[in-house]
Amino acid sequence: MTVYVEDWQAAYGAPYLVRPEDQGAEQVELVEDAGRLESHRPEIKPAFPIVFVDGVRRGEAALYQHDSNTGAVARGVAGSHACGAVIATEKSIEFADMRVQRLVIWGSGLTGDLSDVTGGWSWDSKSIASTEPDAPLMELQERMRRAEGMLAERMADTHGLTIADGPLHYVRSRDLANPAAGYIKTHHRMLLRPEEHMRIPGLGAGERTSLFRLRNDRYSCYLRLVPSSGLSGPWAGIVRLEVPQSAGLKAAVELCDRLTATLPRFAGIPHRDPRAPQNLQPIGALESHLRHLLGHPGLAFRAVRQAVSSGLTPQGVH
Amino acid sequence: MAINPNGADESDVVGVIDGSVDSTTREFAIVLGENQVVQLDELVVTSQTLPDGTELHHYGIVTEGRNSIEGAEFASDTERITQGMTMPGLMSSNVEVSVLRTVPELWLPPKPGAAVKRASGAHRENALFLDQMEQPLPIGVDQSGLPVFADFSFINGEKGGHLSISGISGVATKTSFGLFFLYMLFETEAGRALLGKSGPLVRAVVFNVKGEDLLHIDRPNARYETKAGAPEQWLALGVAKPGPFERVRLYAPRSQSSTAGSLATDINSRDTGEVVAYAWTPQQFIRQGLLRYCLPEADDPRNQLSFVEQRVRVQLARWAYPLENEDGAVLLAPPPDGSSFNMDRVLQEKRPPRKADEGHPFRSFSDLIDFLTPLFAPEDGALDSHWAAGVQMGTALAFLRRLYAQAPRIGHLVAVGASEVQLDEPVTVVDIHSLHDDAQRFVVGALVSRIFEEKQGHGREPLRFIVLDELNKYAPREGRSPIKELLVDVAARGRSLGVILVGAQQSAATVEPTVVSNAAVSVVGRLAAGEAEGYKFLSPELRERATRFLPGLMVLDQPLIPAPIPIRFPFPAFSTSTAEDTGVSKEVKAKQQADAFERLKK
Repeated sequence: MTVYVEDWQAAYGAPYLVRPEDQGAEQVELVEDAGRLESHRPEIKPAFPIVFVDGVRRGEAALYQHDSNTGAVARGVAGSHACGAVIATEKSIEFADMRVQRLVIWGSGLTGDLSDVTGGWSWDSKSIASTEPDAPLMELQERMRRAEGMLAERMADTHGLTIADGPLHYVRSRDLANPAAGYIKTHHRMLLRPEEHMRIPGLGAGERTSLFRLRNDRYSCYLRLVPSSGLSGPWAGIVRLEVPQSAGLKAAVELCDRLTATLPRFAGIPHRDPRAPQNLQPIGALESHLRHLLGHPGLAFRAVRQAVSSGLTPQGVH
Repeated sequence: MAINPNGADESDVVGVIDGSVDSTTREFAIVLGENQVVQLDELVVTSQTLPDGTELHHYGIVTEGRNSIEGAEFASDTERITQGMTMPGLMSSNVEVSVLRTVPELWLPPKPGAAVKRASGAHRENALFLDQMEQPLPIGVDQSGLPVFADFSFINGEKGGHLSISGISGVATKTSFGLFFLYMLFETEAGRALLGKSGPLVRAVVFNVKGEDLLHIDRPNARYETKAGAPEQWLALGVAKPGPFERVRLYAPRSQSSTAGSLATDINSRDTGEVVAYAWTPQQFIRQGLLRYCLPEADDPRNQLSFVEQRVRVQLARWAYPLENEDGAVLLAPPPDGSSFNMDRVLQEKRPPRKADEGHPFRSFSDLIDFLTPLFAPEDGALDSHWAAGVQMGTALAFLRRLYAQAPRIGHLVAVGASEVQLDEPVTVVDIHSLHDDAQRFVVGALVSRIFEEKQGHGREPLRFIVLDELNKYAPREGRSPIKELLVDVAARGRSLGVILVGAQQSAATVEPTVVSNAAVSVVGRLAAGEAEGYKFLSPELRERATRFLPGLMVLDQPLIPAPIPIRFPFPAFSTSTAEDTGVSKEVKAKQQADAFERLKK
C-alpha cells in the first residue's frame, strides 16, 4: 500500500467517494473504441469562446412557525442564491449575467411574506409541502440548480460552448445553438466495470478516456487536468464530463475532444483554491464573486430579524 | 453664473463616490467609470439633494489614483487574469479626492454612490473660490492649462501679506517664480489693475544671489521660442505677448578692487552703462546707522558687542560733520556742547561743513577703522568711556577684531561719491552674488531697513516688494542678529506698512518661524526628501510628490482654499540667466531708445 495526501483541503471533503462495495452501474456502456477503455489525447486547438456557469446559495436565517395550540412546528428558511457566467475568449475573460435571488421558503405547505427592509432587502415567498426540517434548504439548493441550468441554456444559445458546474440533468433543452456540457468534480459511484474503473487513474494530463453511455440521455468520459504529483492520490485531478446524446455520438466525441484540449489550461491553482485543480479558475473566481454579490451575511441575518419583528408589530400602532 | 448640475452634460461624469471607504467632509474616493481617465490635480464636483431640498455641491481636487484588479488575491493572479486569460477579474480604478469646498457651506460629507463630474465652467470657479476672491491674480495654470488665481488681498497686506517660496536650489524654481509673480503684477494689465491708483509708484527690489542671472530680466529670453506650450500658458494667464521686464534698474556692488573715487562694478555680462554701481557714502553710513549691519552677531546675548555697537553708532552720528567740498565724506570731530545722545535728534542737527584738518576725515571704511582703533585699543590701556560704553577691554578688542574682519568684506561698499540704491524704476535688481555673506547681510540689512523706515507712517500704498532668496541666511531659525530682527519686524508689521516680503528658501524649517508663518500665501516647488516633512500644509501625497516635482511645477497654498493646489507657471519670456540673454534685436533697441526719450519728455 502507498500513502497519499488528498489535494483538496480537508474542510472541503474529498473528490473520490467511491465505496469499496460499489461494483459499477448498470445502463453504462463504453461506446467508443469498440467497447474498450482507451485514452485519447486530442491534438487540437482549444475551443473559444467557452462559457462557464455556476451558482452559489446561502441559507441566511432558519425560520419557524409555531402553533401554540397544537405545538406543531413548521420550518422555513430565508436565504439567497446567485448564478452567473464567465465568458472566455482567446483575448478576454469576463463575468456576465449575474443574477441574485433572495427567497423565504416555507415547509409544511405554509406561506408567509417578509416585508421589505431598508438597504435593498426583499424576499420572494415560496412554499413546499414537505415537513422535513431541512426540506426548505434543499429547495433553495434545487432552485439554485434550476437557475444555473436555465442560465447555462441561455448562454449556450447565445454565446457558445457552455460548461455547467455539476451534472447535466438541469439543462433540460437538448436543442441549443451550441452544446452545453456538465463538469463533475467529485466521484460518488463507480460507473464503469471495476477492471476498467481501476485503469482510469492511468490517464496522463490532458488525456480523456473513451466515451461511455450514461442512461438514455448523456455520454460521459473521464479527463485528467494536470499531472499527478507523486504525493497526491491516483484520482487527483481527474474530472468527469457529461455531454448530451441528442447531437449524436460523433458530435459527442468531437465535443469531448474539444473540452479535453481546452479545460486543462483553466485548472485551479493549488495555493489559491482549496479544491484545486478540479475547481477551475473561472469557476472559483465566479463562486467568490457570486458569494460577494449575495451581500454581507451578518446584514442579511439582521434584515430577516428586522423583517420578522416588523411583521409582528400590530397594525396601527407605531 | 447659475449652477445647474442636472442640466450639465452627463458625459462629464467620471465615476461615483466609493462606498467601500468612508467619505468625509475632508476627503472621499471615486470609483472611475469604464474608460474614464482622471489625473492627479484635476478638479471634480459632486452634488446631492439634502432631505430639505437643498442642492449641496462638494468640490475637490484629485490627490492620488490607484488601479487594482478585484478578484486577484495573489500577485500571480495578475498574470492569469490579464495575460493567460484563465481567471476573470474586475479592473478597478480609483482616485482619492481632497475636498476643497462645500457649497452652500454645510459641514456634510458627500454621499457614497453619487455621480462625480469634472468641475468645469462655473463649477471650476467655485472649486477655486474665484467667487470669493476680491482681487484675483492669475498665478499659474492647472493640470488642464486653465488659470489658477491667488487672492492678491492676501499678499498686499490688506487681509494678509507676504509670499513665501520654498524649494531646493538648482531646479531654478524659487527665483523664477518670484520673478514670474512680479511680472504678472508689474507687466500685465490684470496686475496693474490690482496695484490700483498708486500702481506707478509701486516698487520691487530683487536681490540677485546667483551668478549675474537676474541682471538680464530686462532682456528677452532666447530660449523662450524653443519652449513648446509656453505661449499657451501665458495666454491662459491673460498675457498675449510676454516679454522682458520693461522698466528695470540694475545695481551691482562697487568693485572690491576699485580705487578711491572709482565706481566700477565687477559685472561682465552687461555693458558698464547698463549697471549702476552702488555703495554708501560715509555720511549715509553714519546717518542710517549702518554699523549695525556690519556686525552680524552683535545681537548675540552672550556677548556685549551690541552695547559697544550701539554706543559707537550714536557717537559717530554725534561726531559727524560734513567735510567741506567733499560730498558724502564726513569729518569726525568732537560734537558741539549739548549734542544729544538720541540718534533721531542728532540727525536733525544742521551742522556746517568743516575742513579736513579740523578732525579725522572719514572717506572710506579704512578711515573709520583708523579712527576707532586708538579709541578701543589705547596705548595706555584706558578705554574712553564715551565710546566703549563701559565694557571690559576684552569686549572692546573683540569689537575691533570684528570690524577689522569686515573691512575687506564690506569696506568697498563705503565710499565717497557713491550712490546708494534708489528705487527709481518699478523693478530694481540689486546684485549681491559676488559679495561675502557678511557683506550680503550688510547690503540687505541696509536696503531693507531704509525701505522699511521710509514707509513708516506713510500708509500701506504704494507697496514695496522685497524679493529675497536664501532667507535662511538673513533670518535663520537659530540665533539673533540685527538683520534677523529687521526681517521679523518686516514680516510682522510690513503687512500694514505695505512692505511685502517675497522670501525664498530651500527649506522653511531653516528660517525663523515667525517670518515663514507670517506669509499668508506659500508656494512650494521641489523639496528635498528630508525636508518635505516640515510642510504640514501639504497632504502626505503631495509631500511625497514634491520631492519629484519638475521645474515649473509648484504647490500653491493660500488662506481661502483649504487644500494646496498644484500649479504650473510658464517659462519666462524674460532672461533669467546670462545664457538666455542673447541681446536685444535692433528694432527693440530702437524702440527702447524712443520710449526712453518719450519718458524724458514727460
